[in-house]
Amino acid sequence: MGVADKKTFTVVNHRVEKIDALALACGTAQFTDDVDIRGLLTGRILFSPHAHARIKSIDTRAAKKVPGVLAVLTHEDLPRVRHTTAGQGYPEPSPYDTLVLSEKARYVGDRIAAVAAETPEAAEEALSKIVVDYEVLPAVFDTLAAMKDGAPIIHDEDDSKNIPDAQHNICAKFDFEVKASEWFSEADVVVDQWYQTQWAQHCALEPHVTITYFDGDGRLVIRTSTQVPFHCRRITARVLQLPVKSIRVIKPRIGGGFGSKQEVLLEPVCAALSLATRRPVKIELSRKETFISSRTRHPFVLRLKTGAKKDGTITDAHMEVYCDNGAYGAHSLTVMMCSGSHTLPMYQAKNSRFIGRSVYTNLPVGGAYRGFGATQGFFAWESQMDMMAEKLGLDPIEFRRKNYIRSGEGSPVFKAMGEGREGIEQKIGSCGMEECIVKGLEAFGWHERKKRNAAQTGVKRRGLGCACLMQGSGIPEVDMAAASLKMNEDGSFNLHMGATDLGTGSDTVLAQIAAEVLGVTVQDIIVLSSDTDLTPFDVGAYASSTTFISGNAVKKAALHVREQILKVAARILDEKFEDVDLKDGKAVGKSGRSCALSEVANTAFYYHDQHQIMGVASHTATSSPPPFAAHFTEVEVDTETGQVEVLAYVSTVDCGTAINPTLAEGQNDGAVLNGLSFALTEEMRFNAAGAMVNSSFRNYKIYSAGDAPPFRTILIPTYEPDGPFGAKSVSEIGINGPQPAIANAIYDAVGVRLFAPPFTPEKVLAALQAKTPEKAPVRAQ
Amino acid sequence: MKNNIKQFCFPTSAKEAASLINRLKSKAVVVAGGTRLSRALLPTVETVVDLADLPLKHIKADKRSLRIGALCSIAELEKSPLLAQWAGGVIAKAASHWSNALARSMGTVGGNVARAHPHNNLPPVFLALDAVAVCTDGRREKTIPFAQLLEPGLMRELGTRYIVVEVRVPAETRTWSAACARLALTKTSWEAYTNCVVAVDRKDGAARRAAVVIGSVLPRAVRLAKAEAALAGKPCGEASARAAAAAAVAELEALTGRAEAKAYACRTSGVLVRRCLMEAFQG
Amino acid sequence: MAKTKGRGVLKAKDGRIAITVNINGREQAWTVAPGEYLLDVLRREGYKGVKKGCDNGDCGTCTVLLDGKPVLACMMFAAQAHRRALLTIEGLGTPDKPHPIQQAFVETGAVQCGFCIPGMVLATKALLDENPDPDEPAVRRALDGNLCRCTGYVKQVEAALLAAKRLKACKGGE
Repeated sequence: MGVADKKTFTVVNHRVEKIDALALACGTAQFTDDVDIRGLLTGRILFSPHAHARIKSIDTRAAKKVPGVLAVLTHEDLPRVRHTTAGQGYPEPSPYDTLVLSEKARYVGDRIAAVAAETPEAAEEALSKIVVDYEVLPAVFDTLAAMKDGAPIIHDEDDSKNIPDAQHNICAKFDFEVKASEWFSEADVVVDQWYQTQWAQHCALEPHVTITYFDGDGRLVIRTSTQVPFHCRRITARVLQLPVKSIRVIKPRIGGGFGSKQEVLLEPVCAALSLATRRPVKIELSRKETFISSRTRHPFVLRLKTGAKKDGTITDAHMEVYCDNGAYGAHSLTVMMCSGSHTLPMYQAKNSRFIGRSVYTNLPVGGAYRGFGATQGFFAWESQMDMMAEKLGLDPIEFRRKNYIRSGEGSPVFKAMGEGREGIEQKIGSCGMEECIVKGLEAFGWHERKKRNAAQTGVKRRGLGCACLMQGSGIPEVDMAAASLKMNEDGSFNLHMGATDLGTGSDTVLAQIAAEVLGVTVQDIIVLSSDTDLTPFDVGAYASSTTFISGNAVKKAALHVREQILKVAARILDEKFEDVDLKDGKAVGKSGRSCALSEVANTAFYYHDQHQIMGVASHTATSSPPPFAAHFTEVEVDTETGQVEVLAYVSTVDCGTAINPTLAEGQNDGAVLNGLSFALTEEMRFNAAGAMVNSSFRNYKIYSAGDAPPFRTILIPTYEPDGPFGAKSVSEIGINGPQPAIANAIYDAVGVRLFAPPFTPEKVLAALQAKTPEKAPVRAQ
Repeated sequence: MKNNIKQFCFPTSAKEAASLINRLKSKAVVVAGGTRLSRALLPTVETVVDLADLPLKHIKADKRSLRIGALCSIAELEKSPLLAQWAGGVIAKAASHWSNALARSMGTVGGNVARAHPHNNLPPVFLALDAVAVCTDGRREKTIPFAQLLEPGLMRELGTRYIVVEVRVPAETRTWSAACARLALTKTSWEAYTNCVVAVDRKDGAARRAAVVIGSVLPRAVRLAKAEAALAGKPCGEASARAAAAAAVAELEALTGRAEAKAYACRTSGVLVRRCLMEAFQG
Repeated sequence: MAKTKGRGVLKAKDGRIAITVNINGREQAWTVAPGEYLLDVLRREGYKGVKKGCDNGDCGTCTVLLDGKPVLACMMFAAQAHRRALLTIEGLGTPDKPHPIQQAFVETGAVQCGFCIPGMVLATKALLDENPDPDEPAVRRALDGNLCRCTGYVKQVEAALLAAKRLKACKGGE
């Protein structure tokens, strides 16, 4: 069937308007909190003020007496079910070390009690009246120190599972090595460097919010801002000891997630309060609560020791990562592994070694965050590439071009390192890296800028930097998506899929894929997504899986439906099945006879061989084709203040076929800007007691429209055979570029290399004053 | 947000507003632009005195002074044609550096001056231009020079005993050479590392009188006397700018007790002082 | 002697204050708790298009226009809107009759998750009402109080410029 493999399109690869954009622009699209529910109670959580403390007792009597308070819960009131909050496929590759309400305070922000009350004021008062008798314990805040003998043991309980070494606070461990020769025996130059990335947070503008209530049939409905509705249902059921079938999870419009909502964070607490009160309950984290008690980007301490030959071939890659997971182990194995699985294959070093440890500390918990370890890994790798190029006397771009993986090539890392488990063998099916580099250099004006900067003098110095990147498209043999499609009598279709649109536009993209197969427009596809009662299963929005995996499920379902339509149409048109095509909402025969799709539908409903034209399909992938990207930037460093201004930034990205170029560009734009502030301004800061000191947008700086430097995204089309209509993923990769590209550009500008972002003016100035390369932020073991 | 508010008053004159707060004392609070206060009320507050209706939105000049009404928004200062050419446009420029569009739209001169947070943008520029704040307690008007205003005790009185009516800047400052610069983590950062305003009255190429003001580094904006001394009577040029900058750094380091946390701010204050002076000298 | 437009004093009776607000062109009478913030009252009264991003004046998500001026609804007490005119996103345009600014945001792809959009659109309106022909730096400055994490602001700036162009053309002048 030609349509499945077509390469020219009528809907796909077109700038179709996002189907919910108008409703969003008019304020009529509904987010979680945009409904009025009678009798809704306010739920609030009591957070630990201590970084590490035993809870000797919790006295809730006074809190319960506050007028309007209907429930006050602690760990003593809930089933003691250790789980992970990480929204991952079952069995989750994260330790089961979390209780809905903690029995021990393991960080400032840990959840100690929950209340539900008729008014926000009553809830607030109840919180203030809960008396917790803490025995404060020594805390540990340093990733490397936490692994040493004698460090406080954060998980000393006996009922947690899947913690590799609780005595040394290690919550995930992975080692991998492939060796072709003696280590570094063939290297002419060796670079050995430590790096350290900072604490950061997603800052979705909509805070975490969940509403739970019982419907008319007594089933528990969870209406929540989630990226993982099905994982939410499963984990909530298990944790509260309810049958899965008694729960329905509905995802309304979401105001961003970026990974922070790939977490079953509020739902079990909120559901527990509803169960205790038999009333609807809403928990909405304040912005400050989001900062201190949701999830973070895992800070990494990384060591890269790499070797290369004079001709520029990278021979050895030794990568050690220490991933700070904070107090609980959500995503501990997967984020850590992705820092290697999404970087090492790109460089094709014949000797490759990865040593990964995720570590508990008494600080906020790491979660899934766009880039997912690859971001941290690429900061190290793409900085190291420039350092190696310099030592070899090679142009940094030529050095990269010599080494990166190409179409048709594979890597032993693909099989050895998946995401949380062994991966799969794969060969690169599409790689636009070369064109990304060529087009990027040209669009950026790299050579002209280099010439211009060659003779520069003065207090402000300009420099150029680049970074080459890859990511993945879903987790092969782990992520599964399903979709169902049914036809209506007017020739429209209902498309139901579990796939989760968190603002990314996946509803639109998936509708485009279906419309392409069926020869209709997106206006004829009615999309319903992410309702565990009404839509088939999907792991949810993470790992850049939606377009690639959910897209293929939708495509398959649409092909089933297409086949049924053609069968009915062939009979109507008196044509052979294989001579009928679908175009512009019509079935068209080879003879030129045609009929409207509505005629097909009505025939099937009422006239002949009555049946509902519908299709269901599931899809898992056997590959995870990487998107590729090349980023180029020019910065200007004020050598008297240390300020770094980004003058220009070009990001090219190969995502295969861009199903919707506007949405793909938008995703990449957002990722790049997030990466820029991650490079220059974002940092969660803590005091000596482990409490976050900058828990507001005033003091945790993300970029506004006034701060954003000029930058642009250029899509580089390729065709990925495993993807729906050639598509790969696009949403994550852009965030990986700015940190290393800017580090490289700063070095080019002023000869100073920074290894511990964010590159604030103070840090840059201090490095300039030291006039030597910045002291490595950590000591080697 | 729990609070104990029981009533709102919308006075239509500064006298009325000031009388109210003097009568109600700690039970009342004034709100001008409302960009910070509404989330930080004391439990004693029962009355909100909303100044939004005060007819104090003028920006005009008479023979003696430039007069800026306390209810002018920061955005209005930024866009004022009169301020664009007063002392090299430094007041408009300082206003433009403030935070973001919403804060500039809502924030008022009175609020920026009375709630003198170390990072507020207007006290430094008014200090540099020898401005005074005209206030009323409901019965009498009081004129307080900014040099005095920024003392801790007096600051507390603004908004509690006194309402700011207008800021007056001496007419002779119109022709002064002035410049300002702000160093912060981002353009829209509310906090700054340092905030510099210089204003020089030049005659025959020398500084007859100079003001060097630094905000954000200390709890209140300060004039740096030693930096100013390095300029007074000297020819306006790179040499005096460098001398003033060096003196500024030394003075700030002394004032901050050489605190490590302020080292960067002190050092870069010197850079901004020099650059602002060079800009002012060229103007 | 009479002060023509004085709003006088609003006193709470039984813990409630009665206010009149002109919202999206219609006079409405509301009863609010004295200490309630405008954002919470707006949402309670059904204006769900006004969103809460931080409740602390730092993100711009709750931007509404007060007598044409952009303000943060989370930082104002509802009572402060007494006898003033408010414009929320619902009052600017609807899906069957969108305002050109809303339409421009849709067309350029400036809407991703959409949570920041009502505030961003209203800030754009305030800009274009005052300056119908802004350049890009002026657009960026006018929107710099509205945080967005999805879009990188690229297509939003394009949308504002496109809206300016179209509104100018509507007015018949160039």
